[in-house]
Amino acid sequence: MKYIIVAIWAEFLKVRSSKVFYLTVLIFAVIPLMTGLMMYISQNPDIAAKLGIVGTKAKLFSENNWSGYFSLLSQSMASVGLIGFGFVTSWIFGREHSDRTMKDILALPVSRSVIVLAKLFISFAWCMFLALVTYAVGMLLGKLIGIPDWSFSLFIKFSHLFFCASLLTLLLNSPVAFLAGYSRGIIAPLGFVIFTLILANFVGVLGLGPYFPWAIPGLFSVAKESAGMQIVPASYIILLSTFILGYWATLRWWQHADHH
Amino acid sequence: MNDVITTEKLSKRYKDVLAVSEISLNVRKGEIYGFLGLNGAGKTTTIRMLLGMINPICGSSFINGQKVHPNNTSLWKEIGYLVEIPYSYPDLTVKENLEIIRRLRFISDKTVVSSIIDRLKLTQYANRKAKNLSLGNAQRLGLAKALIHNPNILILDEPTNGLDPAGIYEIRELLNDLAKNQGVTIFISSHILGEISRFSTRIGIIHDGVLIQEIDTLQLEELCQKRLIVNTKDNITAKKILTENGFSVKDTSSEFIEITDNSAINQPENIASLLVNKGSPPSLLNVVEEDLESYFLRTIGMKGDRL
Repeated sequence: MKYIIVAIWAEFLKVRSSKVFYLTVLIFAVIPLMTGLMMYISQNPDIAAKLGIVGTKAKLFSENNWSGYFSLLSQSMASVGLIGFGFVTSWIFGREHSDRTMKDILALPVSRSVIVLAKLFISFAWCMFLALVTYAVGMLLGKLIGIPDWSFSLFIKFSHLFFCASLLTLLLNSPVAFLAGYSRGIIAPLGFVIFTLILANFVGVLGLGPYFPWAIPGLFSVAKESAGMQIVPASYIILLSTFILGYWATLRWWQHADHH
Repeated sequence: MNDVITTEKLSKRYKDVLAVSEISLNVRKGEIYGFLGLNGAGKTTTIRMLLGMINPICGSSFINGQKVHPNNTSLWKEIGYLVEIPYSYPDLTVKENLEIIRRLRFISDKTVVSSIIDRLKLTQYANRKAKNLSLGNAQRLGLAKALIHNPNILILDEPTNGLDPAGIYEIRELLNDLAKNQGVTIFISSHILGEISRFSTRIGIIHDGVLIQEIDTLQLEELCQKRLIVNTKDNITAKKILTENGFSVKDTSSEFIEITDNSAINQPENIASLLVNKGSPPSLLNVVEEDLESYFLRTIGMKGDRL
């Protein structure tokens, strides 16, 4: 146990001292700000008219109430969350290569598997914190704007969906961790994340979203009415299997690859 | 029985390049083993295999009798290492970088961080971010990370890179002290024989992935070639005189005469007498010893006899 605690502490210190951490917090705070702005514009037709095309787009979004606002927040989180969480994981695992510090953590009393676990734990904690930032700023902004039709049951339902979708997205971190090691950097895993997001949209159109790991968290958090858009029990198994496979590959790579 | 580091036919291939070929060496306790080779000779690859960072295609290495394996974490407790240019977490200060290593090495004494900072003369940079350190100080930080836990074994890859002459001297004295007074076994690589011969007890020369020679540093002087340089007013006549008297005279790029016979080198006064008696007195008579770099280049076949 002392090994994992020490490794987590080391990873925490690295994250805390980096500008990247604060930058991601800022970006995840901006997501609800943008959503809130759209909601505010759609609530005020006179402003919408002055803003021209932006105003028209804002009107197109959704219902002008908490239900619509929650839906917008979930949709934003489904896409930005996937990229954001992928970026965080890429940075945590890939920075050891880009900063060329990898060799410092390969021959220590703390095993490589413990370091991988600690990195994954920190990526989870960091990502969940970012989700919390979006959630908190979103709620605060919604109250400030004065969005109508507040309902406590709606709030509970949204909170449940939001955090469960975030947790499901976390399961996609492990393949990114593997790619960061395999490609020895940050760029390739980031490219992979963007590619999976594009692919998720395409697969979703084909109605195969519930079976494509990178589409599942998004489907979980948004509309469930249309056929081919509903999560099935197999979706959870696919997502969990993706996580296990990614974690196993990451461990294997750290333990057995040649580290130059 | 006293061997601390042993390799048995250690080999590594990268696609069609055999980077290291069947290297077998052993380093005894308290020894400073200088691992010498040109850039790309296979020094770093060997060191990475010794540290379990690279898997050999065949052969194996042992440290303290234990087989080197990435998962053998107990092995790394006693080893301090520095591989190539040491990099540190750029946004962390010198102190924070060392604090991470202290924790990951489970050193309970918190004062070791400030002690090692003082020892490596990094005190005034303790709170400076690693990204703002000069190359020399980054190297000192790398050495501090290798030494923080007072290891029994040090594996250092070109540890004096980037250091100024004073820094090189300091590190040399520090390593000497560790080996002589604390019995630390040191495996150190370099591409400069002159530098490494000053404090190594034994030297292994690697070239094109092959360990071509192992010598005790004390033997080194004997192995360096000596020659007698002679100059007279008329070197053509002097050459003729020397040849007639059985000395092998070598043509050199300079105008001087070069004699490699041991009898001439050991007793240059005989050459002086001979030339004076034959009416061609020497204006210069100098026994010149091959320097270490020339010896190294000759050994790996890049200069002199092997050309």
